[in-house]
Amino acid sequence: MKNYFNRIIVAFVAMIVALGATACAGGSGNGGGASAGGKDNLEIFMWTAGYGSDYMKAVITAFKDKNPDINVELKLSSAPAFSDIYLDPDNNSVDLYFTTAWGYSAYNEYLEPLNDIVNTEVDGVTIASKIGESTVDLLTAKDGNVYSIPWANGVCGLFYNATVFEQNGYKAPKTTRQLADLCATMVSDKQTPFIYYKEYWKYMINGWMAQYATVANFNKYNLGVYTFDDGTTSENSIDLFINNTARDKALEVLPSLIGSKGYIYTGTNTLTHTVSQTYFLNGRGLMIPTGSWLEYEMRNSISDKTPDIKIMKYPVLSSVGQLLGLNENQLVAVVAYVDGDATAAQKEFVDSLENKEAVVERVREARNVYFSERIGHGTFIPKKSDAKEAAKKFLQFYYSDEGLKIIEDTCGMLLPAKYGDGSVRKSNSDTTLITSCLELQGNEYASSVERSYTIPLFYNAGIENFWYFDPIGAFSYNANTSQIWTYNQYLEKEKSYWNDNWSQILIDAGLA
Amino acid sequence: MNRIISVPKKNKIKRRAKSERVVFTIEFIILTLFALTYVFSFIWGFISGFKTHDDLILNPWSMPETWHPENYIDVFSLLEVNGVNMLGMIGNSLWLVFGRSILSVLGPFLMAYAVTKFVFPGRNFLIGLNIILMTLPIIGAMPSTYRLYSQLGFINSPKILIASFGGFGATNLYFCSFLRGVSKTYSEAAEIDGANNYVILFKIIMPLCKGIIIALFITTAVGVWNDYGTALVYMPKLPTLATGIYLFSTEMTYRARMDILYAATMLSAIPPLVLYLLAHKTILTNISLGGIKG
Repeated sequence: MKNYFNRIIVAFVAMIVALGATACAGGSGNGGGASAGGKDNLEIFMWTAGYGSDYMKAVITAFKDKNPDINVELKLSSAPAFSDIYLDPDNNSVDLYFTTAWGYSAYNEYLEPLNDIVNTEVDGVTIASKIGESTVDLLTAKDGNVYSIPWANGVCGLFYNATVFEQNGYKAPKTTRQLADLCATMVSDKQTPFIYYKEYWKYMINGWMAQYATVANFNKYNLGVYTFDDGTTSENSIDLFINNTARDKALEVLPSLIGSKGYIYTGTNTLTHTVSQTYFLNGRGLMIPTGSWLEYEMRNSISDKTPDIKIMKYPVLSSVGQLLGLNENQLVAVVAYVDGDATAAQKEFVDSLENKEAVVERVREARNVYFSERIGHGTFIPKKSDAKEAAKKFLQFYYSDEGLKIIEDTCGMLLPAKYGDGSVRKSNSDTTLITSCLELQGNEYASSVERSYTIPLFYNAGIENFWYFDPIGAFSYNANTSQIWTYNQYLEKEKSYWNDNWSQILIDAGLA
Repeated sequence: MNRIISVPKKNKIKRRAKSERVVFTIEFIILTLFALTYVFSFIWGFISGFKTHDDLILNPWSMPETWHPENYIDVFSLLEVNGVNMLGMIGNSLWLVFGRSILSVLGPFLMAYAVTKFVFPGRNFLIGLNIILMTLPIIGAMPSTYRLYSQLGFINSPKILIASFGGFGATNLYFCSFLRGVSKTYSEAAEIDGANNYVILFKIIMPLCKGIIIALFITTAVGVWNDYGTALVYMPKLPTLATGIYLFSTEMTYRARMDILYAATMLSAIPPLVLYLLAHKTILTNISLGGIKG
């Protein structure tokens, strides 16, 4: 009898515990929403990336001063995640994301359209015009909505050790052939031309692709459109990957830059971006493909002993000269002409060209191309957020002149948008690196190219680049020379891969 | 009358044969070198915490150019994840370690006691189920687990400790193995004296199992201290020290402060190291899956 009652008691207690656990349901809530004190709660998730978080904290402080009815909570992360938006939308408490935009387009249904934000006037102009209409076009989804806008701006390209360049009399090259010759000179001077983080070569490769194809056609690549020489186009087709001459010509340069002994720092293919940047700042390589975040990201490594660092104008792909019927010297002459430092003989040659205007315009565009890492940094608002209005107010402040000035003063990064008066900078005390980036970005002929992933071919099928095999690993010098691919071998494997896998890619993309 | 006290002869020390001594020496050298590889990692990590980031990257194998002991202090302010500093992370680690360790040991102990000391319908099913659950791949179970925890309100909450109070797992097997070796005479004698099942369990059996309970508690505690996955997935707003260091290490790819990372890693290694040094004898003498204790 006693045991019987004991069992009853145990069963009853177990039931209470089970019910109690179930009754604890509720999760962390759906968005910020209103707090008990009547304030809006705005939770911001920020991927710290290379710009740090100090500037965001400063922006938030200023925003809260202007909006005392909004309580802002900043959640920092070293990982650019936003999976809670679609994995657990009902329990996601974040109202505003500052994170990577890679792949977000697959989840547009979980995001709030930002059309009203980009069309809002701030400081007398719309946010769209501050960001750049072409960028907003690249960000516009097929349904006509914009779901993400850039929150950071990285000017990317080939940075070089200006101090050593000056000491050794090296000149920033005008063409890729000159760049290869410069590398040979450096090696003979017992210098190491390149140190790098493998992934960052994509900035140069994409830039060269835009030089060869033109910026307009490169932007079409972002929309899955490939334009043939006769002007016909194909959309979402394999031509983008197997017949892409611009891609082939851009990759053709690499063996001459990184494929010979002494041209690259030993082991550079295994380095992370901060380690390669640390080595670069300490003189272990003279040139590095990276972005304008270099200085802020490596601020602990910067000292009085750090050399002057600058970004060079993109060397024009020598193949562009062939397109225009120019040999290498003639191409150099035209590039010098657009740079404004042509010799008399070079000027005479350019003036003598029959189609001078077309040639000069073409080369000028190529010479002033640069890759911008803006779209890759996307801000978006979850559709289920309870504080959408507060999030939108914050974005309006972020892109206002006041917000941009705080960003400029706090971390010195290049701004994701222009000021209302069209300027890109208010400070006159920028470092050498930032000044050179501003010269590249701010000249009247500058054309930025970006990668966007707003079509299913990219975000559903997971295609990040216009190539599959890692060209840097394939072409870079290796003591075991049998492991170095030739250019033709690379192209063959590349085309074979796309041909073999295209039908599956289309299925993954939802296009078949 | 004189008492005769017999004094045992001292045992003669048996000298090893020469061949045995040679083998012993070789084994000793090999094992010492092996142990040194572990010790070297600790020493290297400890010294690395005294360097600057650049010194660490540029001269990883040399002594610091200049010593920076402040790194071990700065780590408390610089190591911050989701607004939680190092002290906060240590606090989270402590309640998670103690709570989870106690519940993770108590639950299996109770279940092991039930299945080894009582005969009831479904007993063999429970024993078999334990084995099956241990073979389930975590990759398949994790999404469902996350969803369940989310609906129960366990995410980002100390309520997640409730989930530790399960009866299954390897700990259950250890207890089953041990309890099978505990004679029924103890409980029968207590029952004759009028003790109920609770008195027998908590006052007779549990004290007999004190050694293995402590050993498993310590091993579980060390495991939970170093486990960053659970907190990373289920408690992102309440990061533990292990989670913080893991996230900090990924953040270091952007902040270029590997020196702080190494300092933090070395500091976080101290508690489990001290715990193991103090309790290694208890652990080694009490854990056994077979019938003979080691």
